[in-house]
Amino acid sequence: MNNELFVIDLTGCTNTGEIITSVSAAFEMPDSRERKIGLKLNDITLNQAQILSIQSLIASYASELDFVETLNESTKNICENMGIRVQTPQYVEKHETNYEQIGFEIAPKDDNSNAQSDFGVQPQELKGNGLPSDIADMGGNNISDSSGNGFEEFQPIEFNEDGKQTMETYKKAYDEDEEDKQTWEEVDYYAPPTDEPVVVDSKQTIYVNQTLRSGQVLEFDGNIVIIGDCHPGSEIKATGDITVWGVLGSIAHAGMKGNRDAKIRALKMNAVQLRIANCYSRRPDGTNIPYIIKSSVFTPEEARIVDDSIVLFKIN
Amino acid sequence: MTGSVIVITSGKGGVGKTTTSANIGTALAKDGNKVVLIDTDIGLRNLDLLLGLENRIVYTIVDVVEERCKLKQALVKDKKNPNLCLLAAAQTRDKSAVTAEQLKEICDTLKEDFDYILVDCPAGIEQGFQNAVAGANEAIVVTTPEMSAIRDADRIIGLLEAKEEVEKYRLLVNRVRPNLIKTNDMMSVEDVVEILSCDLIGVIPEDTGVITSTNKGEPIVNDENSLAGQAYMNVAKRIQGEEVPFLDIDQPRTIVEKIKKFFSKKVKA
Repeated sequence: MNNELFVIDLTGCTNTGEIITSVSAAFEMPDSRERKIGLKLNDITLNQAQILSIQSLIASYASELDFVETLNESTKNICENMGIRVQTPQYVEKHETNYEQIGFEIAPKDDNSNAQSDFGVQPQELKGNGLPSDIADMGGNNISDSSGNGFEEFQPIEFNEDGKQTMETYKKAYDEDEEDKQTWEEVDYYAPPTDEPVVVDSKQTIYVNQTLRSGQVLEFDGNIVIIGDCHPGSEIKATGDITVWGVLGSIAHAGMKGNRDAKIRALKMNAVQLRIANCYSRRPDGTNIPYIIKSSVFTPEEARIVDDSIVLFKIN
Repeated sequence: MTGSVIVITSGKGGVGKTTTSANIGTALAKDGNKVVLIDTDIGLRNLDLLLGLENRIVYTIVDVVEERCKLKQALVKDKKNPNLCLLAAAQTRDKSAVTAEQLKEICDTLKEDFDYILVDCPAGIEQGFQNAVAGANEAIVVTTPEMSAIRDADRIIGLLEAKEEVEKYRLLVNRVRPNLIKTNDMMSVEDVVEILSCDLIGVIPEDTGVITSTNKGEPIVNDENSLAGQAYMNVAKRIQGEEVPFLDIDQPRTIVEKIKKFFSKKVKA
């Protein structure tokens, strides 16, 4: 058995079903098996039966429950009675519950190690230095009309009297200018922490191992992972996240049913339009190239909603 | 206000229907008319690309027909000219998504607000053609000086004559190469007109600038130095009822040609 710790984040789960789904989702990862497992529970209350079932689930993946992180007194007592090591979260005071949505990460050996999760997104709570507070300003003013409450009522493009359209281009949270590239190494451009509770995504994920060509539509109630390129003229629609392991050159709509936490990731972002929940944004006109330009240089990016606008963030 | 609905069709593919639509539309809008371009090539849309509006399309003609949005919402305004609008086709559906009656209804509604409604027709004479022609009261038949294109244009003119709503149809000869006509390797415009016995609305010379403008997403009429652009401007003028003489497309373009022409004139004199 591997002695490295593997921490599963269950802080967003509300019922046993979600916990079980999250734990089994974490074990989908190849390197998560045969390990010592840590569970982050924070203030979730669990009874003995629930902990036992989680323990047996972990055991079925040839792993071992090593410790539980909890703030809840009763859960703590039950765990101690069962002989499970209990830890109190140390960083909760600092950042509250700002875990990455992916829901699990490899535990760091120390605070400065660059632990990476599945998609290479650095878990936010591991950062020693503070996050830049001006990110919202840098990516601001690039929203589409997002006045509607529900997705159904939302009417994106309206013509103003002066002929201007309300849909604006998506922008990057970092600048591509030469001068800024030097500072990029020093500053981490991530979204500022929010107070909203992060829900661990327990939706189904579909893997598509093909190139999406013009006219093809991929629609799924859950997350979509595409291993291949998405050519202009195709559409990807998901109620959850969209991840493209290739060039995204088409229209992508994540969080179709109104999930504003949904994200769109691609190895190369060249999307004609990005839509998340009821936010729409389009590609800047300057880069309006009719064909995907293939290149060996990929800058993986992630699009999410920051203050009602769709902003691209670099993924290391 | 009742605008006129002009369908741009050809029968054969690749003769320049979409290019013609984009350029005449832009030219008419430049002259101060309110113009809407309708792409009826559902499933193989390209008009948005030629106008550089690809990234602005949210709703398409299919969404209008299936009542997912209002007609006004689906109109994409041009980047430069506020008089020009595009009603894009859906890329993820096919021609059967729209019926002729529905398209006629859309044209009739748009007539009230716009001076010119240009309908870009798909190649072929099937459903797509029937849809595009449904609401039209004028037609521009695009052809090139090649036998295959002329034969298809002849078939199209026959079909247009059978439509009562289409009051008049005129011929636009595209991609004319004066050099080849001189050496008798290409049919002259006069020959084409004679074969088809049809009124001529314009002659567009072959221009490499069209290719670059297509890739850039900017119609060539915006380039004032281009001969093809000028020819399209003249076509737009003729649509508006002006009498414009046909452009001398045998203009020397390179310096060498200019010198040659200069001397040949002298010799003749």
